Amino acid sequence: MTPEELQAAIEWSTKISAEGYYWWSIGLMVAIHAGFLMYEMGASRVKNTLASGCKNILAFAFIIPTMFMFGWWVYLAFPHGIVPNMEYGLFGEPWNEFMGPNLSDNITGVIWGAFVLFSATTASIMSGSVIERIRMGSFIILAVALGSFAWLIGASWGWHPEGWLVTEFGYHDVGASGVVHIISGFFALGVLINLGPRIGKFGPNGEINNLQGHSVPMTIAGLMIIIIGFVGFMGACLLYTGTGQWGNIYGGPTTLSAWSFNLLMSFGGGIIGAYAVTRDPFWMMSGALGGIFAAAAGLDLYYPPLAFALGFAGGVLIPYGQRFLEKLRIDDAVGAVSVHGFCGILGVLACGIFLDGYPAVSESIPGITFWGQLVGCVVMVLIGFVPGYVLSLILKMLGILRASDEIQQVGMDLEIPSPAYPEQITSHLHWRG
Amino acid sequence: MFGGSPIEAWDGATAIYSYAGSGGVHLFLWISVLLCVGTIVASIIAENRAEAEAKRLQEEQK
Repeated sequence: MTPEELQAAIEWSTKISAEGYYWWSIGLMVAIHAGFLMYEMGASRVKNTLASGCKNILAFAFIIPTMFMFGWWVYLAFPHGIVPNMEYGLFGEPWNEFMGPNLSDNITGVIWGAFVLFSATTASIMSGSVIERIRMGSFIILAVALGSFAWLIGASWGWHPEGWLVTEFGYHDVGASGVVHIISGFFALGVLINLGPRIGKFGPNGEINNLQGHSVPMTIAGLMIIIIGFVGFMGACLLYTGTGQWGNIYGGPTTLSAWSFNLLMSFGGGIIGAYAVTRDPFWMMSGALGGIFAAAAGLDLYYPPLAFALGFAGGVLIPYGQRFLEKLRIDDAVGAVSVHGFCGILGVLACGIFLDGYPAVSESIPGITFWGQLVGCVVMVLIGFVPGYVLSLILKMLGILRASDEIQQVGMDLEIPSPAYPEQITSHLHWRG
Repeated sequence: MFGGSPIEAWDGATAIYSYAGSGGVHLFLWISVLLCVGTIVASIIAENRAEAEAKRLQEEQK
């Protein structure tokens, strides 16, 4: 083999290794959606089981083409603010030569695919909150607005190497505490305010009723499967160069070992923290997620016991966050606002508190500061809440947001051709009978 | 705010985790130990309460 041939072989090996790395991360991230599917169906009452599942599956399905049509362009075109940079967006236009099979480009498709799975995750986060009373058509519109637009604006501002939050404020959010979890959690909150609670959730005298899902074991197992998917999610947040050290999303040096330490420590901390205050396996597994999101923004830099402590704090926070929302008569069926929104805030701000002073990868942009993280946090809350609230308000005014009381009482599965549990679902069969 | 960075530049950096080489490492290690031990103690207390409650219910049934 000549030196030139050897060089070419190394370059091909590097390129195909990177392609393979992201390809398998996409596969792992599908587990997030398998988990969310189980989680939402288990958290639904029998009469709503398949409608919840159908809704969740459709969110994933609609995100894929809409990410191709405009979502990827949004991420690439908006790093500098609300005015798109058409030159930057060129590579995301659906008619661009790289947006399809192209033998000179092994990377665009797999990076786009990883972003599709990130996007579908945001839609699934909102999906659980609104089960058992949202209408399918409106849900799909909201899922696309969140998954193929709103969070991508946040990612363009706070994840893109030229995003203005990064270049002006040194915003640091390597594991997406803000760009995915705050945005999705607060988008869901905006929707929940207009959607209203499920029938029976709140009594006339201020009672808060527990509308228990029909399969807590399925819900808990689903949460564990989501965790498997998040290993892929976190892996896909890294830059594989193949020619040197791993990079975080901003190109700063990091290692998979760093992520392994802190992902697992925050996962354990979240479970233990939630156990300490609830003894409830539903909250313990939600705590695992909340714990990861509480540490995700600084996953590349935390000392592992600090990640554990942040995870613990996230696990403690979530049941109280859920009770706080219930006192405001907001019915989040699965606690997603608390797990993703509130723990995301904890994650972004903790990064500013404990990682203050880390330099940026380039001298021309600021390092990590508390104020930079605070600005980023406020921006992420607004990017999530405002479109979620405004769009759901419009859908509410059009009368297509919320299922009627009659359908809620009979069960949302009325629109599904086959029942979830034929030998048990008496209400479904009686209605049809 | 709490100045966790042990580095000022990335060139030649090795142990980059927050508080590397300072007392903060020991502080957070001990905090994590206390969180684990505290949770185990709280668990034992809760189990003892549950045991006492179960005994009380059984005695009431008799």
